[in-house]
Amino acid sequence: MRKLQFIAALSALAVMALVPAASSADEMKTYEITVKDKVFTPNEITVKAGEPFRIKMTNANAMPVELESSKLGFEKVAAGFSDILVNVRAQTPGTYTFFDDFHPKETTGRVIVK
Amino acid sequence: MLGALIIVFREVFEAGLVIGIVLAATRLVAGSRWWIAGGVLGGIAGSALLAMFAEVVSQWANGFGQELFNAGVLAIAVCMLIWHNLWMARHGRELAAELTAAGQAVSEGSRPLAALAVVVGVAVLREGAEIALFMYGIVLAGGDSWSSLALGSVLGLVLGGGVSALTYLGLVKIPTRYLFSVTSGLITLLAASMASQCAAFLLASGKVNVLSATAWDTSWLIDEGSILGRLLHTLIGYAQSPSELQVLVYVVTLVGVVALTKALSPSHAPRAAAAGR
Repeated sequence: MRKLQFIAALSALAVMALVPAASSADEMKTYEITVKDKVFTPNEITVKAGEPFRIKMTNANAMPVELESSKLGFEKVAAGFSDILVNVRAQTPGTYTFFDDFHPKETTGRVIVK
Repeated sequence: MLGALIIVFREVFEAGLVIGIVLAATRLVAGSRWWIAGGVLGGIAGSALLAMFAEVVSQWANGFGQELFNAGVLAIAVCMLIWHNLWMARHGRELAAELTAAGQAVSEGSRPLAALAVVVGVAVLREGAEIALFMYGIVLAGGDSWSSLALGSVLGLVLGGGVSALTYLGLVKIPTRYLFSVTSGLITLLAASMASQCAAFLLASGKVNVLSATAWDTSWLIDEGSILGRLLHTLIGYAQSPSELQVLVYVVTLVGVVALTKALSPSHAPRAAAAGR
């Protein structure tokens, strides 16, 4: 088993080497949206191309909401009456949709990247 | 009702596939069903707990607790999958040789079984917490649609079980002498897939900021949200617009597991196998 333990130790080290990478996330611009009665307000936000940003979503319902966008690369659940933050990678100009995965057709919004 | 069914089914789909693969991989190991059932039950219990404390978890790490939690449990699952495959590389041949007289193989088999039970538990936990939250929401919302939503959810769960059954039944059709290689291959891909998802969560948490640029975008080809996309996502780790880190982690895990499996398998390194016992 010694060889396996060695491998495990090596992988653990590799993971640790990656994790403490400092983050500049705190200076990112944050856009706030609220979801209530299956509607995002605002349901459209405009952001700058090439800059990472954050979305803070406040869930004003008792029902949980799963904020998701496969194009922007996030998928996160907010329990009833709580808020969540998502980090979004820098994007190229275009229009990207996001939605509540529990109501993917009804509850949608757009991010316009300029 | 259909809406609830689809939501729940989509969530259990991935866990269903994983359970099917693990069931097939351990089909011939006595007691494996109990371990896997234990993994599923543990995952369900964990889901309920996680849903209950969703808000608390969310608030960890300045609002990125969910991502770190997911990355953590995925990392554990990846280690378990790798452990299982390396162990099997050493002992698989003996297991195959002693299939019928499984006596000793069983006691030795218990180790990777514990590892796989953890993997199943993690697969259930990750998707289960969302289902638990969703169903909790249905109960909270009450109203006329309550019973039909609940029925839809239960049917979605049953269909997810169907995915496990189909995966399992499809895999066990493969002749026994190939089954081991096929399931090892699937588990290796699963490990690479989960490792790359772990990397995605670390990036999403903002705690890791290396190689975060998008490597490519194949959303025009296969939509990650489609059934095919979800299938490929679970089986081979398909992501429509992966970050460079995800791609790197995927390739390193895949190559690493294949190389280690080769190095540890008895025909290549008989002495290493003997020393390990």
